[in-house]
Amino acid sequence: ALNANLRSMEWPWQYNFPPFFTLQPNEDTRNKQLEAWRNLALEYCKANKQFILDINEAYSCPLFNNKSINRKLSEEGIRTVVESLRDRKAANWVDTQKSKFYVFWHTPEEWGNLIYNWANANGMMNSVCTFFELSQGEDTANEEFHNLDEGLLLLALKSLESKRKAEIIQLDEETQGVKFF
Amino acid sequence: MGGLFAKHKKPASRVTEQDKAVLQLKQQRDKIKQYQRRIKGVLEKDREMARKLLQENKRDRAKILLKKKRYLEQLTEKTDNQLDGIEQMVQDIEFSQVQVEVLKNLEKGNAALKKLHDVFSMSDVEKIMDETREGIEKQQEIDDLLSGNLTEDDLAAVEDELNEIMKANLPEVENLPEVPTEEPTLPDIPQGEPTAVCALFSRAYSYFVTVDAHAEECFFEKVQAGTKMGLTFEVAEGGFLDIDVKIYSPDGNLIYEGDRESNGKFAFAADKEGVYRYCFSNKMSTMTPKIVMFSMDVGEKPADAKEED
Repeated sequence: ALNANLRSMEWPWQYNFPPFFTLQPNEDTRNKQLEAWRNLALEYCKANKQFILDINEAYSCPLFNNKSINRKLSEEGIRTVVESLRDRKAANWVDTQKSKFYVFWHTPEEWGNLIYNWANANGMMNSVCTFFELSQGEDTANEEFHNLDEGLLLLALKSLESKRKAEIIQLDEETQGVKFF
Repeated sequence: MGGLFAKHKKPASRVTEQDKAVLQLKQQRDKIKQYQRRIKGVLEKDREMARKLLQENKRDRAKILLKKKRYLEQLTEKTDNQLDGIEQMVQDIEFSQVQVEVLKNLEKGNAALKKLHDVFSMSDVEKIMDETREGIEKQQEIDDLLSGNLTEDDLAAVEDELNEIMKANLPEVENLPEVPTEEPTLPDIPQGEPTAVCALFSRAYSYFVTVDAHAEECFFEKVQAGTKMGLTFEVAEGGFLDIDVKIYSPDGNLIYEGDRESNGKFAFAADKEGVYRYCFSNKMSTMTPKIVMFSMDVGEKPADAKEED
């Protein structure tokens, strides 16, 4: 969902350049174009604290649809950008249908470290936290990962788990938690 | 291949039952919080709605809404109390976990300390201390000898002077008789009078006694007046083989005192009838017991005794 409070983000010059929204045939030009798209996507998502983008809703998203110059990136174009981001581990599909994708303006590892540092600073070592507590609790209100998408939170905690810094606890369908070490 | 298998094998879980309990409590707390947030949203909307109704002069409708709002506020208060209860329980569980850890570590520390003490056994310490004290006593004796009235130089000077005097006064003493090389023949032991000799000593027993450090061992002999008595003793074992000896008459008078003697023989006549007491004292020793071999020879009644040398 679109964040109503758009943080003031400066659009790069490419954004108001109509050919930017057309996938370029020339290889060199395309590479430059994709680089600009990657940076723009990451910056946009970071500024708006958006973790997931939906291709089906692309046309309501200012990132892919610049109404002022009446240009929007085609679906093929969006998928090319996504693949380009995925190659650099800066994005990944949320589902197998490939309609929604995460934009990793922080990688799962980075999210994991942010959460772990918060846990350490707040004396949560050897303690359990619910997922809810981490993403929506009052104690994390000022943290970057506040309101972190649940799927992304899980990826982040899994990366910590692989480093033996945390263990995910699944008691039943509803109860999900994590213990930090 | 190893990597593939290693990936599937999960390491042992470090999540305890208490953790799961705490997690469930926290889950409950989260749900209550979410519920409260929802109520808060509803409350705000209703307040807004009530205001509008009042503006439209629909008092009754507004009143109903306000009643609902009041009820929800009370619910919120109740849930606050429940939250408190849950928070407290979570804190209690976490604190007991801390206590358990502290106790465990104290136990470990204790066990380690005990092990160290076992290695460092007391008997070894005593042995070392013993040897040190004996060494000190020995040193003390040597010091006493050396720090006598004369220094070694003085003693040497004395020796020289003695030799000079001897040379001046005595004739040549170069021709000393030769040391006999064979055993000289001894006269036969008289056969005829052993009874008389033996009669002098009608009672003679030898004993060994262990006198502990700082201790005194006393013995008693009841005799008639005029009886000849002879105490023979020798320190067989212990320290510097020395002992203090005291002999008391029946009325308590000290008739003999020996200081740090290693052996001795003291003969006396009992001038009155009664119990004579003789004591061996190891007071000079700090730790070492002394073993004293001794015998008290008591002669026959004076009327039957013969004179001896």
